[in-house]
Amino acid sequence: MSLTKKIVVLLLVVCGTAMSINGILESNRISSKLFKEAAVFHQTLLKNSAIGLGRSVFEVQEDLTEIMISSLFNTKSVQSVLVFNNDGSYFMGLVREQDAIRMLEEEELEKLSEANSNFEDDFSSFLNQKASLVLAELEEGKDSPQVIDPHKKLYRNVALLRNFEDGEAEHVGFMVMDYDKKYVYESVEDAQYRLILWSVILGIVLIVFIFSFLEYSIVAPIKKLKEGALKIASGNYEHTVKIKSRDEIGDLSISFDTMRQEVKNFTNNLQTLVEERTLELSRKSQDIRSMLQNMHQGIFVILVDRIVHKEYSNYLETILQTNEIAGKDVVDLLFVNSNLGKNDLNQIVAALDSCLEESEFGFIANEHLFPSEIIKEHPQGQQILELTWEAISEENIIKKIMVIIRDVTELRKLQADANIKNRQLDIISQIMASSVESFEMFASATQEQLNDARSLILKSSHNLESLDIIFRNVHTIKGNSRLYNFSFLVEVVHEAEEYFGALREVDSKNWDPRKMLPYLESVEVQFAEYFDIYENSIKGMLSGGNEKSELILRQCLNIVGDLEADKIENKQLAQVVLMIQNSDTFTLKEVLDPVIKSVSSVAKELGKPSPKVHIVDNGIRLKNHCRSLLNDVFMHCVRNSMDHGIELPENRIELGKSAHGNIFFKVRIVEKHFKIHIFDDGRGLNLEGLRKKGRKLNVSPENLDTDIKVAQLIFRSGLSTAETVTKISGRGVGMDAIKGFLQKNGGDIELNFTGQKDMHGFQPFEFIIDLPISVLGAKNGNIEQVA
Amino acid sequence: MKKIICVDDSIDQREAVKSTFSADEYEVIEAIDGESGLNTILSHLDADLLVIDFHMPKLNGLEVLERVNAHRQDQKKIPTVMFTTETSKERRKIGQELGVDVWFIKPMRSESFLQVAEALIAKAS
Repeated sequence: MSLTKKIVVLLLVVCGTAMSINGILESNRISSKLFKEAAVFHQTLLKNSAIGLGRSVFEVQEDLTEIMISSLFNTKSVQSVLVFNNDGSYFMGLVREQDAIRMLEEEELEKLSEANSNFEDDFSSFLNQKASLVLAELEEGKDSPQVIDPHKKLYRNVALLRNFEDGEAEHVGFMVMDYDKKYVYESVEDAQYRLILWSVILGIVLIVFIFSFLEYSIVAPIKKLKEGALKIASGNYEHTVKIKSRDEIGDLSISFDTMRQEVKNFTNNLQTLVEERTLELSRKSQDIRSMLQNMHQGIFVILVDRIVHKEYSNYLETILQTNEIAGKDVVDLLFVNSNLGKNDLNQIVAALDSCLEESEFGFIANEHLFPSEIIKEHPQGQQILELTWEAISEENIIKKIMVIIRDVTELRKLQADANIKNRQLDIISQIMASSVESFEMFASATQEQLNDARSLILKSSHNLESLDIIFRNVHTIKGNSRLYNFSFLVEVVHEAEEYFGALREVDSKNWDPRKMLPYLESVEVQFAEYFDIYENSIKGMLSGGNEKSELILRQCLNIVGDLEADKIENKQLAQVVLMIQNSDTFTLKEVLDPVIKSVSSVAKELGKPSPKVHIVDNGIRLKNHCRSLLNDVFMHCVRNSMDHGIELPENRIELGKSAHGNIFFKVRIVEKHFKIHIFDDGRGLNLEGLRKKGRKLNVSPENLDTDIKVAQLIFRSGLSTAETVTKISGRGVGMDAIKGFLQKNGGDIELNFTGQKDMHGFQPFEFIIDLPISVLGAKNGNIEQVA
Repeated sequence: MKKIICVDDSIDQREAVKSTFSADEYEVIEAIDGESGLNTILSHLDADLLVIDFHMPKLNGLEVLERVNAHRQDQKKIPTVMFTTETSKERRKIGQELGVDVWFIKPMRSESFLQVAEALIAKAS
């Protein structure tokens, strides 16, 4: 039942009760009214009876007695009825004795008269005074008057009249009824008391009922809810409040329990969350601590006034070899016995002070003054420390500077070792790539060229020719180094070449070996590195078991020497001799291989596709010791061809040529001379360019009057037709140097036109290298058999 | 165009500042000592940045700033960087009161200088 309904019921109960009480009281009032009415009725009855007597009272004693008895019975409150004569003497009487009614005897009446003589007197006087009045009252139909007697009894007197036929009436006597006032009122009072009592009991019952009802259906559940709330407040979320009533409080209790569940879940979740967070936090700080403990780095934080914070990574103590760290001045901690000077330290101090507790800009402004690497001196040796500095700021103010220190001593050592090893490996791979034989050739030639240059520097005074030779030698070393891709050497030789080149052009009269030698020496040192690595690492590795056989071969070669196999009669012996001789020879292809290899890189630098190299060797083999010389020559020729002769691919395509160039090498033997023809399908020789250059260089006009004479200018020193000096050629050294080398070896190089000059002044040509067989050694023998 | 005042008795330092602000958007006004610096600043109170050395003949950098502040009325404070070789707590405190935004310890690095200067100018505008 809902609370509203309960309240309605309660109100109804209260209303009902009030109405019933009111009803009882009303009935009481009605009953007392009835009582009065009964008395009036009785009076009337008496009056009528009295009137109805008609004759003497004494004559109608029997009638009177009946009336008196019925009066007594009708109203229990009447105790006695006495009838008086007009003189006041008792005529007759009836008394109630317990439940019976008895007529008084004559004697009793007399006694009563005697006992009440005074009364009789009083009464008779009263009667005399009042008789007429009473009569009048009666005639008017009014109630008979009441008399208060000395015995405090309530009497009701009734006049007894004798009625005459003419309508006259004679007063003959009185009838007095003795009412027990107490009895009359008591019964009424009793009833009233009972009513009040019942009302009180009903009231109490009602109050108790209402109270219990309220207590049971409203207060108790609210109390329960209150207790529940208190328990929840004190943290007991398990306490359930069960209220079974189906009213709003019941609903409230259900909502309350839902709330409890939610609070419980929420609190549990919150607790779990807090626990998780706390765990996470402690794990994190544990992680940080264990990181600080275990990391192989020194980490610490600098506070204002350069004080080192008490928390730092354990390894810091190992790195700095001290455990007095916390609270120290960072400068004393880090930089004592370091490579930093007083000025450096002052700068660091000032820079730190200008950062800490200053704006973030302070760090950006002065960060570069914090060293990133320091070297500390210890009795047991040097320690290299790498430092990283980071600003930690709060609200744009730098509060701390974090420093991370790594001991990189070993790392630096390893790096240095690794660098050396790497360099060595690079050098080894460069040498191996060039082939061992090529390197040996390169090495002997380079050694010779360096020695020449050195002796020229030391022995000559100022001499352009000597300078030319020195320059040419260096240039050749550079060319060869580049050919074989000896990168470390190229760099150094390039510098030397630049220096000597510049010296040659300045035409300086200051021949100062002290200035010249260092350039040469740097080349020597670098060459020595290559040579040492070759000698120590490669040669040993390669030779090993072959040493013996090589020695035997060398000896055989010495024995066989220049024997002409075709003149040996024993054909088998002739073959052996030829084999031995050929073991020390090579084909044109073999000498050209490294050149061809390097051509692609040259082509790349020039932005041209790699040319195709065509070799026609006619089975001719060449002696090994010329290899280096031919190598240089071929390299120069190919480079010249790539640089000056072969056009850019787009131009070639326009001319109907293949995009890539073609370079041809042909070797043949003419009268104990090797003739090596070298030519390409490029645009030819820039005769007009050469002529202009010649004029510029003050070449006498008679040497410029024919094209072939102009062409010969390319063998002159200091001439290049290229517009700008390129990396590949165009330094004016090359062909003149080549011609020099060949002539030195009893050979020569010539230029020969192979076609007609075009409209731009270009004319196709070929180089013909001439070398006596005695120099190149091998000759056209039974190559096929050997091969 | 951003107006930058450089007060420094060292020509090298002035050149360094000038080359840092060589871009077209900057105009560097130079002064060679504290006294001329004071006049320069007072006649360019609308400058975007003040680059001032601490050690200078006649007036040091902080003294210049003190006088500038005494003369300045309603004008905005010019963002200020102070160059020095050494520093002390007291000096930095005075600097802060007089409006030094950043202390640069010599030798400066041009990139850092430009970065800080640009940030200060941007912050002020």
